[in-house]
Amino acid sequence: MIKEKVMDVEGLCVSLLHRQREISVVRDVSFCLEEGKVLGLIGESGCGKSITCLSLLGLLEKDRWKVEGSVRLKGKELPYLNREKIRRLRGSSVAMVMQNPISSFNPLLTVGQHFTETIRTHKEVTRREAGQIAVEMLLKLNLSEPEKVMGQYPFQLSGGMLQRVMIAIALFMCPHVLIADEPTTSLDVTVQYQILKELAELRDHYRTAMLLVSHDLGVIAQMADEVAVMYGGYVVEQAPSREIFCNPMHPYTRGLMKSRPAFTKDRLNVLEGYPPSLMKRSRGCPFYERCRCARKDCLEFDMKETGATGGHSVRCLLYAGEEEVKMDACS
Amino acid sequence: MHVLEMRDVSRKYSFKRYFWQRKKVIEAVKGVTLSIEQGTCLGLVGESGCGKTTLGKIAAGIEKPDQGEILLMGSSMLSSPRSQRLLMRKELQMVFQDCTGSVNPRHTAGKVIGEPIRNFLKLNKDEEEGMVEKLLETVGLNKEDRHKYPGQFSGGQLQRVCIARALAVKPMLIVLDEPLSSLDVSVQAQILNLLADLKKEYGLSYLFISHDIEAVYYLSDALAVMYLGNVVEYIADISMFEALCHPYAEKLLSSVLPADPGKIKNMEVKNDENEKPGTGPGGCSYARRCARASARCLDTAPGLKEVSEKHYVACHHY
Repeated sequence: MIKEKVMDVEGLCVSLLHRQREISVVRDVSFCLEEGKVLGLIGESGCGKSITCLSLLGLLEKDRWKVEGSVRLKGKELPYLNREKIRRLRGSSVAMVMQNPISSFNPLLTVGQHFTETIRTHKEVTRREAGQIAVEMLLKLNLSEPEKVMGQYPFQLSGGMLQRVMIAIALFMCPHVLIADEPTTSLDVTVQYQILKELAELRDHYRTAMLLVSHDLGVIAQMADEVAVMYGGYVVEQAPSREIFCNPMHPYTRGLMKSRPAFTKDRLNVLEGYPPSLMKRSRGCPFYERCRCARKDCLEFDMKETGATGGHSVRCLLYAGEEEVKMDACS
Repeated sequence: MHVLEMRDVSRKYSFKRYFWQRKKVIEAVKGVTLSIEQGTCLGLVGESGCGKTTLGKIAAGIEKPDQGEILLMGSSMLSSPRSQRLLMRKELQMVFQDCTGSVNPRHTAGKVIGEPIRNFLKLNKDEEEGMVEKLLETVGLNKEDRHKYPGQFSGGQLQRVCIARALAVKPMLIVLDEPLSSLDVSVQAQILNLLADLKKEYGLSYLFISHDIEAVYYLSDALAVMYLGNVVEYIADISMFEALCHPYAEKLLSSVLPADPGKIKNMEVKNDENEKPGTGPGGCSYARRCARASARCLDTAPGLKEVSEKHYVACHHY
């Protein structure tokens, strides 16, 4: 199978302009999405996951956010400056599924109106044809009685059903890239399972490249082919899924994996402290304060990628030197 | 000794959308019988809307059941006189799901934690202050934090303040209503460890309501699975976790995703969310979503029966 790069992100930096200050939120993020593959993005709240997603779609307001770096879709730079062009791309080539299904819909419009609006922006069809496309799409997502759902308002549907509707709206144009920002966080476990199953089926069916954001390691392990771990705006570690779960290198990743209660009664090995505030970021490694193997020179570290072998890249001074690092030294 | 016993507790809510409509009745909790041993933690799992929170509120004495009996250390909570009932409240404290919504944003942390102390214990100001400081240290915060306002704390720290408030009057039982769901993964682990430590140190009992089954397994000694107002399965010993056998409990367990790509599941589950939960008259509440439903399931509701020692299931198939 030939892997095809669909989206290529290089050196993405996003900063928030706040009272004549620039607060950098996303720093030097690079990754690429391949056809039919899922890139998982893990991290705690405030680490820049959602901002990364929004900036890919050009959804950040220009007067408050500064976005640098290059995003190429199928080799072409995304035209962020041309509002009309990027609007055409959104929904047709790059689609997004938001975190909270209930607040992402307009409560005054029916599900059908949401659908036809999106379809008629991208395709020249009549209202009736648009309705037919919508019904077909809803059937693909295993919603029963799609005609009835089309006439209903968002609040009449359950969270799981709404999330399905949103995925259906995102996928009807067969986009090259689907960005799913915590698609299952607000749902029940059993519903989460079904939604993930449907996302996986659609990925296989349309060969969509997917960026799946989550803070749930289980979801990432289940879905992702490659995983990027974010902390304090940086991607601190990136590797194929199996590699990162079996052989996590960055102290943060290791801490995260251990802090999950996985059907044991043993005491949890926790990461002490809290994620750093956006406003208080200084130079050096953002994980310095919570790291168990922090050294003095960590504060001077410029967060360059160190130790990238076999598709496994880390940003940590531990792996900068040539010497073998003992893995258990700080676990 | 049981700290809390709930016998055949029911709670109905009735409402109407328009004034000409007939009242609709929703049974949030239907005849639940549960008890919590002293010094143990009872985990309560179930999907959203199954009545977990209502049951938690009934256990904490915030909500009154329509039917049934609640015994706190053997004495009835509902039939005792008001003065006594208020004193009983001291033994029951609650930690809410949304920590920012459950504290007054205009009160400092010290005032928030001090409120139950002022209510129940007759202490002078210095004693109260000393107690607040001690409580803050117990939950892993600084003494100086008592002058801070809720807005100055992060989610994890504020949840610690809420736990300190619940601990303040040394209750017997703390009802934890999804205390982790608004927190980050690494902070969740910190709070879980804190709760486990406090339980050991003070001999506390918990009613731990959550939908995170792995967290429930970590903290609980007994487990009850709820579905649409009924307890469908109960194990008195969490080590019998593998024996859970109600079709709904099985489904719940199979939906847990392991954080290990070596154990990836083939996602083969029949989609059944479309089938509206609800019952015909009589009948098992899970029958319409159950793959194993038979004619009998649609007719008669199964009661909770003992299938093996310490293991109760409400299903006709066992």
